[in-house]
Amino acid sequence: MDRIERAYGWLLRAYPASFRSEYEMEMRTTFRDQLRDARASEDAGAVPVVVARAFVDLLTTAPVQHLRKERLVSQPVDPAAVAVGGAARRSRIFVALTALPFVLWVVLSVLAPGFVDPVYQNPPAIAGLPFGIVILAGSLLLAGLGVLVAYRARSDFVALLAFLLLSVPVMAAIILLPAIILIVQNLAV
Amino acid sequence: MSTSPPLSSAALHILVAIGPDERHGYAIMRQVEAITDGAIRLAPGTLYTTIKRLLETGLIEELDERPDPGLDDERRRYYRLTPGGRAVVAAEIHRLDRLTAAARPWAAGGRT
Repeated sequence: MDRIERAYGWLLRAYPASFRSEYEMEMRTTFRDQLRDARASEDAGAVPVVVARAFVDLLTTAPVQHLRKERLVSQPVDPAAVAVGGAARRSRIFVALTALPFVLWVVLSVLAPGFVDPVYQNPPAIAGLPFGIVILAGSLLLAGLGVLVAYRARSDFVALLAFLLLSVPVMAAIILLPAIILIVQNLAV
Repeated sequence: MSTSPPLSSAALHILVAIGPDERHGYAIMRQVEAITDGAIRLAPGTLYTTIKRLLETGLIEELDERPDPGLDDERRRYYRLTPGGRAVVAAEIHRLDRLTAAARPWAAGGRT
């Protein structure tokens, strides 16, 4: 097995375990067949095209398999059994990751109060409400939503999505918020 | 007239590629490429996720693993259409025929 085949085999981990147990060997064999034929052709670009197509194909089909698995397990016959099963599948690591925005805000508030002060001190107002606090509250609500989604997720993939799509943007917003407040204040002067 | 929803493009091409024969995954890939003149080249992900769905819906069935004498000694899983799969393909062809007939007068420059 050469490096390309090994790399493809490693990338197949993006698919759910249940799907891999059924089709991983066939997918590896088929990919190897494609590479063999590409190498046998006289086209120097054939191998990169096969690799690129397989990679893009993996990016588009693996998430769908996870979502199909989510849909299939969303109609429990025995809620208690599924609750236990869901807890078993949920990764504590991803749930902890989604709580990072809260940790970040607390750490910044304790270790760098000067950094976060602009959020509280004379912020510009939105409809009478403090701008910085509104944005902060909204961000932390989104972070809380991420924690909830990760906690209730039945697969690590969904928990990871919650972290990437909710927690990471919130952390970026928390870090940038004081600077944004200062910029807005300066523009208002 | 069929009341089943249209198949996805990948599913239809896979069913047509299998046809009356028994084919393994890579042979299905090559057949799809052949019948579309290279316009459609399936990758393993699309191929096997679609095969999984076709198996679940009973349109194809799995056969015993055996090597392909034209390739190597690797044992490969073969697939063939079920009677239900053949019926779905027939219905899909009928649907596409109607679509083609509706479009031909103006899409082909008015030629019949």
